[in-house]
Amino acid sequence: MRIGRHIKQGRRGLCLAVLACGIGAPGLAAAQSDTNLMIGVTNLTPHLDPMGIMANVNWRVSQNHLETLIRYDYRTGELKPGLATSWKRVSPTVLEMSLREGVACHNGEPFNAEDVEIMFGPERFQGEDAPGYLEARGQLGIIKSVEALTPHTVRFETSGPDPLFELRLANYMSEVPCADAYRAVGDWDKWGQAVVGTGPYKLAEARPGELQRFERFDGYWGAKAPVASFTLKVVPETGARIAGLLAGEYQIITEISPDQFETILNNPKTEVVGGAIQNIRSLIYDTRHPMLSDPRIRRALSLAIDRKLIVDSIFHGKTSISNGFQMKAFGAMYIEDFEPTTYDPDRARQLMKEAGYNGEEIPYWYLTDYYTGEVTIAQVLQQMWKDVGFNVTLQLKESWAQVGAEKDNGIRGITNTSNNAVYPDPIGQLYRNYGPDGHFVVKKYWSNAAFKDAGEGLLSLDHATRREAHRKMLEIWKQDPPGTHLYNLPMFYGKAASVDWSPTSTPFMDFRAKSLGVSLN
Amino acid sequence: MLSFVLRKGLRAGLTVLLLATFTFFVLRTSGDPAVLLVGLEAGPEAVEAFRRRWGLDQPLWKQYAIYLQQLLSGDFGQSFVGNRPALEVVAERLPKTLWLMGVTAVVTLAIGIPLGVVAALRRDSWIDRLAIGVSVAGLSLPNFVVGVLLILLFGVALMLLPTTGSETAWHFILPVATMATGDAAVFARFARSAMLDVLNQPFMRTASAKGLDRRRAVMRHAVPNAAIPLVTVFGLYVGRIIVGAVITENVFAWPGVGSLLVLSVETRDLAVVQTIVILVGVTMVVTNITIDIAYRWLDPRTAEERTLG
Repeated sequence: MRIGRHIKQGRRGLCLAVLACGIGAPGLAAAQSDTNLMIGVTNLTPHLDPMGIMANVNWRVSQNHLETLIRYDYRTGELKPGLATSWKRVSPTVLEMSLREGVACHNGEPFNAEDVEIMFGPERFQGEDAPGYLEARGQLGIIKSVEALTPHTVRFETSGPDPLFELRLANYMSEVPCADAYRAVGDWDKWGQAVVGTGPYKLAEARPGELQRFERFDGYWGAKAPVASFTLKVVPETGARIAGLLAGEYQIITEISPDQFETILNNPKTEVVGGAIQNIRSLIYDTRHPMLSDPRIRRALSLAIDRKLIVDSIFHGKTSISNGFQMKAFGAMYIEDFEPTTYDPDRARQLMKEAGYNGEEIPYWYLTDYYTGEVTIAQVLQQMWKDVGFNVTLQLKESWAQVGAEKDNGIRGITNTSNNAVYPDPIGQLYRNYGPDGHFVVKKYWSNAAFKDAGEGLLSLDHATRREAHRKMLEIWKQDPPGTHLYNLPMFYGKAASVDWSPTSTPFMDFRAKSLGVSLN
Repeated sequence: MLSFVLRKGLRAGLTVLLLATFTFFVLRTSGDPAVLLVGLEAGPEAVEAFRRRWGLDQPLWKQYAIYLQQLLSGDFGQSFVGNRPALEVVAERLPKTLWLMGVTAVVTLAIGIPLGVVAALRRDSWIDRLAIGVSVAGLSLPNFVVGVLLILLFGVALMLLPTTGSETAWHFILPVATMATGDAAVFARFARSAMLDVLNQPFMRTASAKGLDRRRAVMRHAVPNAAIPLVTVFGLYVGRIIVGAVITENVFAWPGVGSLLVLSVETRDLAVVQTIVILVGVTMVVTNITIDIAYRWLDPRTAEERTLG
C-alpha cells in the first residue's frame, strides 16, 4: 500500500491503517500480514549477489532473499539446518552435506545439489576468472572443490583444514542463488539487479539508487515471511528520513545518530533500536608514510586517544569499547585478560621523545560523516593528538573514491575504517583484515612477519593452539600497530513502535519469520 | 535567419563538446569508481579486474578517444550499476524530473508574474510592499531550508502531506512549493521592475491619450513590452530550476535526474554523470537559442540591429 492511497483515506489514521491490514495478534507471533514494510535507507547495494560486493548495504538484505546451506542463528550464535539438513566432516578437509528436499527457487525451479556445485563453481566463484572470486576470496578462498554427489548430497573439499568452515558456510557471502536463473541472465551486472534465490522473500523490483522491493515468496519451504513485502527506499537526507518515520511513511529508518534520538523518542509512536554491532571502528596507519614507519609513533598516536571520552560525548555512552582488536562474540576465542592500548598521554609523549618526533606533519584523511559523527570525531582526535604534541592535519576527502585513489603510490597517513567480524572468530576479523590476504596487507599499508606466522596457528583445528595464536596476534597488533581501535561501531535505527523488530549484531536486517512482527500497539 | 541558426548551432555543438570533455577529465581525475563499486574491503585484484572490465586501465587519452567515438555514434556508455545503457538509466528518471520542473515552472510563473505586475500597478501600496517582502524572503531562503521547514510543518506536525517520494499528485505539493517559493520571488521582482519601466514610457501616455482604458492599455501595450526582460530571466530560470531540482529531489527523495546525478557523482558512475551533464548542457544551449529566437520575434529591432551592426 502506497502513501498516496493513505491520503485519500484520511491522513491521521493512515499510519495505523497501513500496519493494521490483516494483522491479528501483536508481537512476533503475528501471522502473515498484508503489510508493505517501508524502510528509509541512505543507499542501496549496487549488486544484490553477495559476491557482487562486500558491503553492509548488501549484507543488509542478503539472507532475506538468499539462503545459506547452514543457518546462523543471530540470537544464539548456533548453527542450524538451512538449505542443508545435516552435515559431517568426512576428513579434516572434506565436508559432506545433505540438502533439504522440496526447496523451490523464486522462479519455480527446484533447488538441488547442482545449484550448489554451479554457484560455488567456476561459473560464479571458483577460479580467478569467475566474477565472484575476487570479492569472496577472503571468506571462501579455502574452497578447493564442490561436487554434487547426488541430487541432494554435496561435497566440499578445502585446500587445508579449516576450523571455521561450517561457520563460513553459514554467513554472509555463502548464500546460494539458483543456477538456472543465473545462467538465464548471463551477465554478472544484470544479475546483480535480478538475483534469484530460495529465501522467504523474492526480489520484486530493483530501481538502482531509488528502491528495492522484496515480496513474500509463497513457495518458501519454511515459515512464511511475516509481511507481504518490504521496500528499501533511498532517502538520503537524515532529516527527511526522520520526518518520514514520524509521519508514518516509513516503519523503519536506518543510520540514526545519537543526537537525533530525542526527536524520535519524543514521539510516542516511534522508538530507537540498535547498538554496537560486530564491527570495530578503527584508524589505519599507513606505515609507508615517513612519519608512521616507526611503531613508537604509531603507538603514541594510539595512546593519545581517550576512547571513553569519544563514546560518552559523541555516542552518549550508547556503544562500547573493545578489548583490543577482538570482540566478545568470539566466545571461547575471546581473550578476556588481554590488556589493550588505553589512554596514556604521558606514555605517548615518552614514546614520541624516544622516536625523535619533532612536530612533523601527519595527514589524517576523513570523509563527511560516512561513519556516524566522523567529522566531529576527526576534530576531537586531532585535538587529543595536539595535546600530546602531534601535528596532525585534517584533510577532508569527498568520497572513498578519493581515499582509494592510487596517487602518490597510494601512500596515505591516517585514514578511517571499520572492520566487520564476518563470523564471530578472529579469522573473520583480525586475520581477515591483517592476515596475509588481508585488505591492509595486500594494499601494503602494513606487514609483520611474526603476525603472519602466528596466523598459521589460528588456522589449526586445536582450540588451545588457536587461542594462543590469537593472543600473540593481538599483542603484535598492539606493539606494531597497523592502526588502532576506537569503539564498537553502532548501528541505530528508528522504527514505529508497532513494528516488533530488533536488529542483529551485524548489518543484516532480519525480516524473516520469528524476527519481525507488526502489530496495532 | 539560416546563418543565424547555423552560427548558433555551431557554437552550441562546441559548448556541449567542451562540457563533455571537461566532465570526462574531472570525473576521472577526482576519484576511482572501482574502489566504490567493488567495495571498500575488496583487494587490489578486484579493483584491477573492475578497471580492466570497464576500460579504466587504459591511458586517459585513449579512454577519451573511445568516449568521443561512442558519443558521436549516439552511445553514451554503460552504467556501472547493472551494466545498462546510461541513456536508458537517465531516460527512466527524466519524466519525474520533467514533471516536477514543469509543474514548478507553471506555478512559479502563475504566481510570480501576476504578483509583480500587480505590485507595479499598485506601487507603494500594501500589495506592493507585501509582494516585495515575500520576494525578499523567498530569495533569501535556500531550497533545502524551505524544504525541511515544509516537511516539518505539513508532513510531521500537521500530517497533511507526504514527506518523500513521487507516487501521487499529493507528493508534488511540497517539492513544488519548495522550488516555486524562491523562483516566483525572482519573477515577481523582475516583472515589477520591468512593468514600472514600461508604465513610465511615452507610449503608455499615448495609449491613455488615445482613450484606451487602463486595463486594456496594460494588457495590450505594457505587458508585451515588459515580457522582453522576463524572457531573459526565463532563460536563466531554466538553469536555476535544474539546480533547484537537484537539491529538492534529494531532500524529498524524488526519484528524478537530480537525485540520480548526486548518487552517480558519489559512486562515480561515470557514464551516467556524463550523460546527465550533456543533457543539462543541451537543455541550456537549446534554451538560449530559443530565447534568442524569441527575442527576434518579440522585438524585431534586435534582428535589425544585428543586421545593421
